[in-house]
Amino acid sequence: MNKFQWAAAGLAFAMTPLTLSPAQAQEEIVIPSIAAMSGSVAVTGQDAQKGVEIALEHINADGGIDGRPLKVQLYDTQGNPGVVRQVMERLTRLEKAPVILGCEISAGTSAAAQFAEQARVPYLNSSAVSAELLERGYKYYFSDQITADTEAATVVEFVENLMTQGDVVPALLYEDSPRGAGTIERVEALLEERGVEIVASAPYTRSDRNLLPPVKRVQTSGANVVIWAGYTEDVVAGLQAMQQLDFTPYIVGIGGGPGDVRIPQLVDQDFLEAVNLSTVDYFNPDMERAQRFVKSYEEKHGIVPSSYASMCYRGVYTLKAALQTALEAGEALTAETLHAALLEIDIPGEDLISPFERIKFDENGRNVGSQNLIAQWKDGATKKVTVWPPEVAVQDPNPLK
Amino acid sequence: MSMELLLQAAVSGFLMGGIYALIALALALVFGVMGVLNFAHGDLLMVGMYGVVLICAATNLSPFIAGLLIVPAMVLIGWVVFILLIRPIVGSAPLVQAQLTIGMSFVIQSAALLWFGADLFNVRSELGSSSIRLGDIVISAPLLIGCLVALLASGLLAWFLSATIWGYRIRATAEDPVMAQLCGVPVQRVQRWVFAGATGSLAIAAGCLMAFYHVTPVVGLQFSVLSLLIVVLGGLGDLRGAMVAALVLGVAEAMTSAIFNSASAPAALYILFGAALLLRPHGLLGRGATV
Amino acid sequence: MSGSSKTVARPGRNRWAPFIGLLRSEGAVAALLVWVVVAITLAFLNAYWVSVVVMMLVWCYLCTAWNLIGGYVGQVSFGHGAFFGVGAYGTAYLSTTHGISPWLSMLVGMALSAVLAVIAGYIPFRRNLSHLVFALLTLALAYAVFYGVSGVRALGGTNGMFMPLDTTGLAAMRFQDLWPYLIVVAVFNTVLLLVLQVLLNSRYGFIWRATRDNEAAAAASGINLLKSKQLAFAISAAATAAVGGFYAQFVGFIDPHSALGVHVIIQILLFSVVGGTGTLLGPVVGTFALFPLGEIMRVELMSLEAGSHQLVYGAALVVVILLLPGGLIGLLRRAMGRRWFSSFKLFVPEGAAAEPLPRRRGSVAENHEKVLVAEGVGRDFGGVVALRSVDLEVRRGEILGLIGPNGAGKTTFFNLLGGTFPPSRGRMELFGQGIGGLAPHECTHRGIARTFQITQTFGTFTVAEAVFTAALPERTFDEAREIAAQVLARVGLDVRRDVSCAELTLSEQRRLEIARALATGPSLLLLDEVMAGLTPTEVTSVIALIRGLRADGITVVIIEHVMHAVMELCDRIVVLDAGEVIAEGLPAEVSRDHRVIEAYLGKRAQQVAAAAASDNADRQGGRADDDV
Repeated sequence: MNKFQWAAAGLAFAMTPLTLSPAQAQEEIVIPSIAAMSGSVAVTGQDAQKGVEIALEHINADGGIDGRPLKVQLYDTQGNPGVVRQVMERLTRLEKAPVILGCEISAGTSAAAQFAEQARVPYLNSSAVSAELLERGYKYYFSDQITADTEAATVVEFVENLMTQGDVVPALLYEDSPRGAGTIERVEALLEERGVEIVASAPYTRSDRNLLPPVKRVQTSGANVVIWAGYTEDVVAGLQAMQQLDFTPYIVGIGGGPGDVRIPQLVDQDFLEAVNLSTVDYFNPDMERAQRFVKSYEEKHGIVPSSYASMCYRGVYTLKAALQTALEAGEALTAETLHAALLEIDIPGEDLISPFERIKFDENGRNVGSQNLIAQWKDGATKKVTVWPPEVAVQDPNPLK
Repeated sequence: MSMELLLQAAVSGFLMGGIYALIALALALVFGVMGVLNFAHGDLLMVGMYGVVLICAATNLSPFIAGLLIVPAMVLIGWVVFILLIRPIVGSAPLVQAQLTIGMSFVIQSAALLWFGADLFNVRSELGSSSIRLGDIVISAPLLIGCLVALLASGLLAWFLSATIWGYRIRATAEDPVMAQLCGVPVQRVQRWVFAGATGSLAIAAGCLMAFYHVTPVVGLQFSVLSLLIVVLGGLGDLRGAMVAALVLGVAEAMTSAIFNSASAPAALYILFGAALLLRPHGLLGRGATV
Repeated sequence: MSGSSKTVARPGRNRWAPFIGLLRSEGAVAALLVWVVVAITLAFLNAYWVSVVVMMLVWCYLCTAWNLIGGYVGQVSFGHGAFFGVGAYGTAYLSTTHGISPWLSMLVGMALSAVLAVIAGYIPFRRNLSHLVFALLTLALAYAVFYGVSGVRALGGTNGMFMPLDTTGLAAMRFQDLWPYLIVVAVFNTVLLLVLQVLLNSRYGFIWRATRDNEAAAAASGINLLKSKQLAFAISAAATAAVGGFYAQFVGFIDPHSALGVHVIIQILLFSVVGGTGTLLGPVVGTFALFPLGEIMRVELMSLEAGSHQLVYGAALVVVILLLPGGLIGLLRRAMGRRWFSSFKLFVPEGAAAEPLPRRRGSVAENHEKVLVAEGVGRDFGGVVALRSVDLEVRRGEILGLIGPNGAGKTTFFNLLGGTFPPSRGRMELFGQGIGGLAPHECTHRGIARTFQITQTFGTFTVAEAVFTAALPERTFDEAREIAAQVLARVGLDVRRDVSCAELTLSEQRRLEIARALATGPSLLLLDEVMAGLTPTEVTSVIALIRGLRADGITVVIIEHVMHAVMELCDRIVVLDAGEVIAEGLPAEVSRDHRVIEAYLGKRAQQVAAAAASDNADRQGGRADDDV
């Protein structure tokens, strides 16, 4: 054999496990899902996996989909658009997946949506909050997740509620990645519309090790309400800076950071109460409708589920609804039938673990029923309580001092 | 942009710079003595940071004490890493060194991810939230103590290098390994101990950092890049230059972020780095090696 | 492809020879390998693997482009992530906002990258700073562009940019099917590989390799190091930007992390080093081996804990680097023998007549009686005075000996003349024109050639190539070839022409030093201890060689410790001690000068000598520091 034959043989040998599609178990429905399970945002993928696992346990314990067990196969993308492109190619062209569930971070979701649109395979996003994607008019992109628009609207409603209790001087503090900056921008626009003056706007990057300067900037502006978007690491650092600065504004948080369930383990609890740390979220474990999920999760992992885990759980249920709709219509599971099924589904709010009114997609793939909640740390930051909107609130929000 | 905010940024940055100095000093020393630029430097620091977290979780000690306690463990890690990985590449092409240490960084990072998960860890203490006020300037207490401890450790290191027989041997090896060997300095032993010692000193830096910072499996890279920039800015092989560069970089980092107030702010830091090299190509103190 | 496949480019024999040589070159083999992989992929592999191979070829291209500066010029750039991103963003921005075809907007990205490269390379190349400074500066460039783009709203900031989906076709570089992407990226690779092969076979190949092998020798050969490095860096950067445009079209979405992140350069370094740098085949083989492996591990180990595949990958990388220092290509070469890869072999005519040696064209006023005049020339290093103040004259056609004890400043003086560093004070004139502060290659171009006390060789060159390269600057390929032939014949290295420079004996290395200096066509030749360590027979033949050079009209200054040779050879001798001229005159006069004896042997010896010669010694002139 010459060099090239060797190389070809080697290459072919190396790829045998991959060129064979996984054997289809009888009856089992296998749907792929993408998530960043390694790399710098691996924590999201790990949470996604936990949420998906529990959803599958519940669904299959309840008899699966028309008696057929459901399996969601997770594919790691590292959150890298280049890898997403490769994985999407595999899922659409090779595995011929009829639909793909997305538990992916923003950048990865953008690349996946772009690809799905071209490949004409429905992509069901349950994680990324990007409103921009919905505005692109894609036909195969569905998002049962809230968007930055809904989030911003809820934040502003909440701030308006505070305004009824006294003078609100709002400032913006945010980590400048798409997740935070997108919502902050909309909050800014909405507040301006309402004629509310924002006294400071302090962005920082995730790599800033020292948040004293931006936090101090906010403090010196005289703000008493801080609308803050960030990740866990910078929120922890920022809260510490506030503590050092003796700065106790009313904090309305956005994104995974302020909402992280581990915050009380990382920051002084008394201080969390002092700043009324609240977050806009699409999940809170104290909601009545989420109890089954929360109990199973706690049993299995020993902690309450994160919002990231919850949305992937919800995503699997949305997926289940679409699969069921297609199967009940007696159709084969193809990209086209699932595309139609996704447009058809209408899941009532009480069947969901999210604070949504329902899940129903418009022609742009936007969930018209999505809605946010605001949760606040209470009782010495031992529990995070749903305080807004009044329809789902478990307690009233803390008053403005 | 008020004067007060700028001053605040400068002070915070300076204190941060003190800790950078200790981290970068270890890298500069390793580079000086064995000519190896270690891209896994930050990852070794990260190992130390996880060590501090474990000790603090188990014993409730202050992170500074925990840092001291894990020095022997870090020395041992440094020793093993030197024998297995660094010794074979002493004297190799810089590219090979860069690549090997980057590979090492991959391994440490993924091992940390497997072991600790991607969640962030920190050490909570009374100290962490306290501060000192000097007029309008707020000084974070853990940062201040961290900076002082780091500077003290750096001072001890400087004393060790200039006043002890092993210090002379180390400096001789840095100056000219062949000549040092001929003069009876056990060069291999010096290199081994310097690497182990430098890794050990990272334990102290880890203790200082954990007083107010957190650790995740990916923090290593930022510290590696930062200390590399400091070592080059200080002038290759110039320890005093590295100290000065660390403080300058710490201040510049905080100031650019305070002044520009935009996602592009860190870019200014790197452009400043380039500009500084344009003016002082042989390091801030102008005493760095040419080749 | 077996048997002897050494390509010999013989001019005049066959005008197509260079092209045939090109077809059998390493670059062509690499390009062939790319197409074999493309063929296998299209014939046997599924869509998923086609997309993996497309990405693999993107990386292959990136590594090849990086290899030009990193491997051939030996300057490790960490900034290629920035160039890749600039290409991707340039294309994305211009095609989304102005509807410009990616093929055109790619050119803009390429130009921008080249400019960035020239800016980033200027300080370290101009000041000749350490490779590490260059590496870190380029890393800083990568971060600056990364954060810079993150804050620019028109570029999508941290949100990233989408490519328009509506248009497909070759002009839009966007396709419904997957296979055209594969073909396009394979064409990118082929063009790059062949262009690089042509460049490497041309004068630039010699200049770049010389720059990498030995900067001091390259500069003394008249190579403009700054230009050589800047050119390679700019070409490498522009090439990198081109594939950035393709990547943007292929993935359809870019954001700062994916297009500009530090992982880009880490991957490039990884594949290149494992493959083997400084060869065209290395990065290609490295990528082809590692990229699919990484992909397989990512997929296969996915079910394990997160991070496992990176752990295995990193560990494998460390093991490969420790066990295979030359990379995969080194292993392949050892296993299959060198004949597999024909490298371009320079043709230098044999048996050239020992004609009068060539002189540099347009050399200034050759009839000027004073070749070199130095007035009060000195040089300090920090607080150390290496050369206090030197006044001397070199007359046309003479052989001037420069002697003095160790540390007297002789080599420092040569370094000033050769442009290694500028004088701290004083004037130096060559044929009446000031030369103080010129760069080494400028000094060479003015007609000063030098040898080095510690011989400086081009490690990867053959003898003929080394001499040829020294003749190359400012001459055509063919002229340089002729000159190299003459010089080789003259110094007696004709029979050793195809031997690697690294394998020469000491005496041959000294001859090669002289040959390299001669090939530049000097008017003034500076020889620094060319006889040290040679046997008496060898010394005699070098003396004859130097005399012959003078007969050709070359003025010679020699630093030498072999005293009988100095006395025999030199017309005039200048004695330097402690950075100053202490004596000057005919050999016989100088050897009797009491200050010279004192400087060499110390005061007491001088007293003895003085007593013996009953000379009227001036004891007050003695130097205390030489008194043992």
